[in-house]
Amino acid sequence: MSSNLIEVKNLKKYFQTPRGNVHAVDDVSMVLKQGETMGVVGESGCGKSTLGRTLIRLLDSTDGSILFDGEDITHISGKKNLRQLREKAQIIFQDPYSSLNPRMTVEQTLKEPLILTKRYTKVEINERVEDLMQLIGIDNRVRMSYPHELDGGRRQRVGIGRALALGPKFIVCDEPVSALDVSIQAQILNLLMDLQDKQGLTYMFITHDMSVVRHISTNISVMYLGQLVETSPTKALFEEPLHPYTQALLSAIPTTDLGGQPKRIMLEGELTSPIDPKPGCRFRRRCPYATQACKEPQQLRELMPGHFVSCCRAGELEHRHGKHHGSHKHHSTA
Amino acid sequence: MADKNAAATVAAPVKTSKTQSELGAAMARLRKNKSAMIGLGLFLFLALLAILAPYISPYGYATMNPAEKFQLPSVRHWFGTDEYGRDVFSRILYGGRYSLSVGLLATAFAMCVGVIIGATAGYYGGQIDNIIMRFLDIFQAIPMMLLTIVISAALGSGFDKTIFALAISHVPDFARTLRASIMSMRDMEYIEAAEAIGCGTFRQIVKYILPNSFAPLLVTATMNVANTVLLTASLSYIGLGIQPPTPEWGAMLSAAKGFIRNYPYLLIFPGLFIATTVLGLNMFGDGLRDALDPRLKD
Amino acid sequence: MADTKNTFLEVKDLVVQYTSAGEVIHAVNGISLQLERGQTLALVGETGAGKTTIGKSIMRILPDRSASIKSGSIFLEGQDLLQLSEIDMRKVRGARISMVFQDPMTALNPTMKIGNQISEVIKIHNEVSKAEAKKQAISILELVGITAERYDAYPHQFSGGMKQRVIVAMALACSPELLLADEPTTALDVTIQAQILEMIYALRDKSKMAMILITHDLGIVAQAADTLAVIYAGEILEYGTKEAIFKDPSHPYTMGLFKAIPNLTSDSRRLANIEGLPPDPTVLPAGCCFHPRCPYAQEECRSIKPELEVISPGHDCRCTRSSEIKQEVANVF
Repeated sequence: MSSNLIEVKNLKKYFQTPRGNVHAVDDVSMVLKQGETMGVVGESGCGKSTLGRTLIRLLDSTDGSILFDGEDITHISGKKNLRQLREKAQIIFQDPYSSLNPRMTVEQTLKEPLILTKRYTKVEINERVEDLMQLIGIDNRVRMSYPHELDGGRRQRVGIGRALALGPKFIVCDEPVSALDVSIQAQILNLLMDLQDKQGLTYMFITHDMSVVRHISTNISVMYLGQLVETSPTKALFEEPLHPYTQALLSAIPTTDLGGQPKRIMLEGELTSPIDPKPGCRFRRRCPYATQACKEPQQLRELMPGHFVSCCRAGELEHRHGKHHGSHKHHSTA
Repeated sequence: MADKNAAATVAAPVKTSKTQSELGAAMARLRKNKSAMIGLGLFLFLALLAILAPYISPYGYATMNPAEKFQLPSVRHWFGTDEYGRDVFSRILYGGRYSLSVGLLATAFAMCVGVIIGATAGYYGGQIDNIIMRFLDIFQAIPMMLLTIVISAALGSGFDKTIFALAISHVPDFARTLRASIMSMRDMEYIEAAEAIGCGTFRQIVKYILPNSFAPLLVTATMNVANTVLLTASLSYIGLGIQPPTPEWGAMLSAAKGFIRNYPYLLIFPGLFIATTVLGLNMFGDGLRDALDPRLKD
Repeated sequence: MADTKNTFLEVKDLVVQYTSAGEVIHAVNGISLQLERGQTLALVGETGAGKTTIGKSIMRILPDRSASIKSGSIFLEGQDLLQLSEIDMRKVRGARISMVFQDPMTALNPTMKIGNQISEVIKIHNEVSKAEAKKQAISILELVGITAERYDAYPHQFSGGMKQRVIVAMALACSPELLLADEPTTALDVTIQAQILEMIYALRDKSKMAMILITHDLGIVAQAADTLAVIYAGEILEYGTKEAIFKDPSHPYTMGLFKAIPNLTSDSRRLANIEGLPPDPTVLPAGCCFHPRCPYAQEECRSIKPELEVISPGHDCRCTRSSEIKQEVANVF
């Protein structure tokens, strides 16, 4: 039974803008177990990237608490404390074209975290860089190359190497393959999974791509406009999505199955703004099942073991269960 | 299992056998640009003449010879002589030392100060940025020529003071250029990444931001040198800046204005050298801008 | 694919090159396509394969200075577009052939009201008054789900999905016969993507428009296409009806693409990937363009360039070993 590496309780992150408060992350709670991958999905503006960055203290939270490896890191400050955290929690960015310093070679980029930590000698740093390059699958030939000389896949590997340099336990992967071609995506995803197996890493995998998240995640959390609307183990989410938004999200994905084009749940309208939102479910304006009760603040309820939903009507709705069955499961529709 | 990933490195080779930084690539483009190279050549040639002035000038710049005054260009005096019989060619050579060095030093000084101010404003943003920018606004609201004249008049004429006056009025240019660079870069993910691996603010600015933002600075600097050379000449022309007997080109122009009708060559040569300097620098500056941002050309 | 004289659109042996910094980029290397009225052809491939270049070549909007169409013809109802003068081509653009671009953020003029951007297209191609053009523009806007009162809004006041609707409206304003959609929904969220795609399909079906859909997403191809061409390094590797290719992918690259996509039904954790990277377009490999990455490549593949061969009616493939490979794969299981 793996332990809880990260416990997030009622986390809030608001940004102040001239137009009002942007509720980027609003009262999100979740638990990440050691060695597992928590997939966080949602569309633009849902707050998933902000969540990841707040978790590792790249941003300061507005409210709530974050427990990392038993320690409350919500308010830690000071160069030393933050540096210690950086050695345990790292991040991989989405855009391989802008996440590397154009003026630093591959070697310099990989050395940088090691230099900053001041704990290694020159010789140790060089050895470590050799190991890293092997680990991420980069040839020695490109050691002195600059980012603009490399393709997206290689750049992303360098980004991964940089995150691994300090030997972290936890890595936030912020859409790490979204900017890559399909065939390169597969390579990088496989690399991430191999590294996780080898080093016992814990991931928070942020993406908008439901098919990618399914392959890599143990559990999945669905976010909408800053709120956590559903969270459950991966299989359960795809077999039986309980929140209307999750159902719509899943049905919107074009599938390569020629015979099995799903009955698409079309959502009307667009995402509303997360600036000073009114209380209650933020999805209600687009939700085909919205009622008056949806204007009240919603609670995260455990409807099935390990499967939480933030929707007052989730239990009573006809289960439009996922077309995406596992190979040997079947359900009768209610 | 690592082999599967190592295999990814097999297929596509990195093209250049010698790796080339973006700057290196830009410099290569620059070298191919004919007009930029001509411009650079012109400027370097003039600079060389100025440096070698003590060795190649046939006469001293202050050597007066009233008997030979107002002589037209001849074999003995390539550019002729002025109203005191001084050899114009020698004065032009020595004059280059003053005109060019004022231009270069004033620009260098303005760049240093401008970079610090611009970096502070750009990186920290918010109120600090606001205050600094409004301060710069005040400076830039006054026409540069006028501002320089006022400062120069207040400080007095002379080599050092002119440099100072010119530098001050050009600081806002550099500050704004760098601030704009930094602001566009602040949200780049690699800055965030630097933060994530524990990089402190100072190192972020020096190692991550500045190296990536000095390209526009270079262009501004080049254009500025041309501008300040011109301004120096203008200042001397109106009696500020550098005064006779120091053979600054603008001062020579000023002294020549009384003799335009009869001895136009006294005007032509200093004017020609000023114009050539500015032309050369501008051609180079344009080429530099094109080289550093190749997208503009396609 | 059978050649018919009355094909609506026929691209024949198109070759397009770019020059950059003294190097020649072989973007399109001999592409031939056919399209009937009302049909949808999908061009599938990864970045740099040449799909966008093909689209832009049909519209003749390639950058003049760096791109050149070296050879080939593009027949629209028998007329070679590449032979038309620029003036005549302008009459075709927007009226007979329209394009929807990938990035809604940059495809609209930020200083012009969106309504005017649409009525401008109408006015250019039709002899109508300003008022009439505005009327038509409003009706198109409503067709794409934007209310008339937003006619005077500027692009920055719209979200990504709304901007893309405006772009689609602009493309359809003159009821073109052919729509080129270049990754029209890549930059959009999944639920918005579904809306926009449904809208495009509905409008296409209503007006019996032919469509060339450029995409890397095989799911969208499954939804929308009648035929598809798999493009790699500027060449067509596989070409045929959707059913034929999806049921029987015959080129190793196509097979690889299908396997590399994380899909929602397979249970395996690891993704089968295609090793290596797409080739450098300035130095294309000899023989089959895919051989450096092909797990089944043999000696002949490295030296002999395969032709596009018919492997069954409505299904072409550019691989000499295709049937052997399928046998190998079948034997493994």
